[in-house]
Amino acid sequence: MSNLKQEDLEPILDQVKRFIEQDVEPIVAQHEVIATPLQVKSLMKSALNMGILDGGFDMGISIWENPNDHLSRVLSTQLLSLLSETNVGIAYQCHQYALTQWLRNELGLIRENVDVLDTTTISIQGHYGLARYSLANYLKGKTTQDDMAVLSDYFNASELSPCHVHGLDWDTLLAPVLDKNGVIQWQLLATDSLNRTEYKHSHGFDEISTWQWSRITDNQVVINETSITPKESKQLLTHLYAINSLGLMSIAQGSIKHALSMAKEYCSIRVQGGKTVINHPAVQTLLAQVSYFVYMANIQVQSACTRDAFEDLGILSLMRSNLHSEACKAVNNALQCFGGIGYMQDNGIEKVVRDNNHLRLLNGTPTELKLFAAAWENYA
Amino acid sequence: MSSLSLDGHVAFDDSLSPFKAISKLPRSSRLVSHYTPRNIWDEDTLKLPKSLQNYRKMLRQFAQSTLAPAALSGDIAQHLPSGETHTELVHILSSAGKTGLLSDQLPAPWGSMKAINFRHSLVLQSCLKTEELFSACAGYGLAISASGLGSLPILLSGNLSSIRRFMVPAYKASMHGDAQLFAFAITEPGAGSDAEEGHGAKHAKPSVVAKKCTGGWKLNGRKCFISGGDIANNITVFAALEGEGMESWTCFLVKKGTPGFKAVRNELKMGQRASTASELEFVDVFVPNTHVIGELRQGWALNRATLNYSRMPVAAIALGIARGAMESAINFVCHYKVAGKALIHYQEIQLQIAQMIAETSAMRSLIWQNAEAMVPRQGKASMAKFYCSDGAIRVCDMAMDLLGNQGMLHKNNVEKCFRDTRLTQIYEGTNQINRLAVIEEYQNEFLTLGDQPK
Repeated sequence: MSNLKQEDLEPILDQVKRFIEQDVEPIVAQHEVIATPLQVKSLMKSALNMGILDGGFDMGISIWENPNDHLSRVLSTQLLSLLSETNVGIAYQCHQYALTQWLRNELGLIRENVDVLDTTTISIQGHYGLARYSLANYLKGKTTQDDMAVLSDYFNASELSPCHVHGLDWDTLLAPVLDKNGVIQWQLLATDSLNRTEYKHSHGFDEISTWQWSRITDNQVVINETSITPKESKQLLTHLYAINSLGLMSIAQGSIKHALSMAKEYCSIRVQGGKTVINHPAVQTLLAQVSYFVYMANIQVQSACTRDAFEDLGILSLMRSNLHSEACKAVNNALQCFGGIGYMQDNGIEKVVRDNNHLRLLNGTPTELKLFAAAWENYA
Repeated sequence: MSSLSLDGHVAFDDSLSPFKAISKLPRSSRLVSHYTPRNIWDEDTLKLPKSLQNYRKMLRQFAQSTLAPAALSGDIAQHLPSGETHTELVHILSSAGKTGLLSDQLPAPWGSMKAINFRHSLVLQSCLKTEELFSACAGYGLAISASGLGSLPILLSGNLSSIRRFMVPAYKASMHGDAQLFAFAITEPGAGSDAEEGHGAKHAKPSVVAKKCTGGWKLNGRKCFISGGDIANNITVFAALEGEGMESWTCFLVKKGTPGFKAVRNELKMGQRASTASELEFVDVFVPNTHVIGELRQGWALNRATLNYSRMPVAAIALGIARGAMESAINFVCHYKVAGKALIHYQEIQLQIAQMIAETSAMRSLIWQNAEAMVPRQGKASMAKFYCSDGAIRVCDMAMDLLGNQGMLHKNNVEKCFRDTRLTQIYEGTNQINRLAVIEEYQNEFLTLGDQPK
């Protein structure tokens, strides 16, 4: 049970705002200068010491420390949203870290040196999409033989169909695997038992890398492996996907808020046709769409935190599908308000566009999420 | 893929295949109903006159053999100070020059365009060129095509002396592999859209000003976001005459190396990164009277005429990038397997591919239909520009989505296409300005209608 109370939220968020102002903003102020892995690591350590990330101190305020509690979910989404208002890559790294810690705790793989930044990461997704309908069918307990064939391929992570993770460098990986009984288990894998390639040039998330990994079949070193029941497996994965959905949506929400404030500020100064551009209907309609979507995204994230939505992965998937598509349109409109200067990296708005595209593609694109939801809702 | 049919479809030789069934109709029916499907590119190419078919084939061959292999590395190459050029770009420009792509606004022997092609509009040929080049690489495509934009004001000035003195020597050098480029400099730090729209220009305060001096003019001020401005040998610079507004805009030809002229910086762009966008500084840059393009105060006309010529090719740029994204996505889904089957077999994938083909076909139809006119029209050019660049974003989004979580990887090309195409909604006038340009074209019609009773 969480001891978190409604009145605790504001002081916690104020403290985090100070952390962002003092520690994060100076590092990411120049948009074209990408924060180094060392700088991001240092920020993560500060976040760990402050309790924003779970360091095992049981403070009850860390991101995804207690996602079963509504207020905790609200706090986590607000923390991620605040972080992403400043930098999406760093917000995502915090989310990924917190998600890994949550899963480790659920699996009973407790860390000992809590003051040191953990270098385990989590691979949530199989090699492509969301395994069409099969993952949803598995989670709903209605798999067919075809579904099992799809899932076996989905989590295979072979050289021909590698999986991806995003983040700072890592030395161990928590990855799902389908066991011989058709149950999705979790393995803790060492890097030396994997093929892995780092891609520094991904579409967004400049501060962190994209990693492609696949299993080396004849040299599989499994550090630890779960042996959970089908029911536990489904519950765990359902929960993991729900938390992940909340995280990704709140990161998008913060970033479009950022885009709106940047666009408004610029449009209030820039003059065209003898008046500031904010006075032109062409710009007003663009800004109005962004503004409306900031409002809608806020409502969607709040609504996603409620128990009903949080426990319904079908609804969460549809929410994500809609939110990320609309967020991409909104930040594109924000960029358009800048004209040519918006296309330049030192302006910063183009980065928000790339980051939102990246969020749209992670852990299920809008089409994949719709297929997932269709299976979840049992449309067939 | 060796399957005879995709999942959900019958094979071509199946009795229920429409192609098979129609082929069995009587000869008179077959004449008006039977055909053999071709691939998309061939099908479109055959719609063109023979000489343009050959031109399109030549462009594709050049783009795919010279630009495509260098596209990804050019995109992430180190950002260089203005004026410095990667050897790959030098090589590509030289090849483009030898192929005749930097000299195709004039017929042989002054330029490289085949005399027979002058039967077709220059705009249509530019559109064919930009679609092919940009489908392979937008960055290198821009480095090549920006030169054509830069020389357009000279061509449109109709002044044979200027054409002979400035374009012909540069064209000849380029055809020999020594790329002599042009750049078009209108945008100013305080005037982006104002440089592209009459109502805005009325209120704009010009940044680059020309002051009369003995034997010519002295230019002072700054231009920004000038494509290829740092490497061009000849820059067509638009400047207001001292003490006058934008209506006095005059086009001056500034040669690289002229004292006082400097490319001060190159922008770090979101995409089209193998080309440069430069900020140009003019400090008492002397331009002789002989380097005034057209007449004094004809700059606004030359600028707008140039934009009428260039906006349709920008639409084709968007189309080319969208096609590049679509081709990368199709290649991916035909090879990448999920549960032992290539993705193209899945219906949700087929629906998106069909949508992308439809979007790009619609763009091409709009462009080819309107680009045929010997005199490009502002309304048609602008509507093609905003329609195609908006559509290209949709296609690139779909391409990224089709690749799923692999869509964000640079090596898969589609994310680059998105970054590249985003600029087409901005340059040559934002899409908002281009929408207003359509209204400007038809304003008399609307005014007349408004004067009539309901």
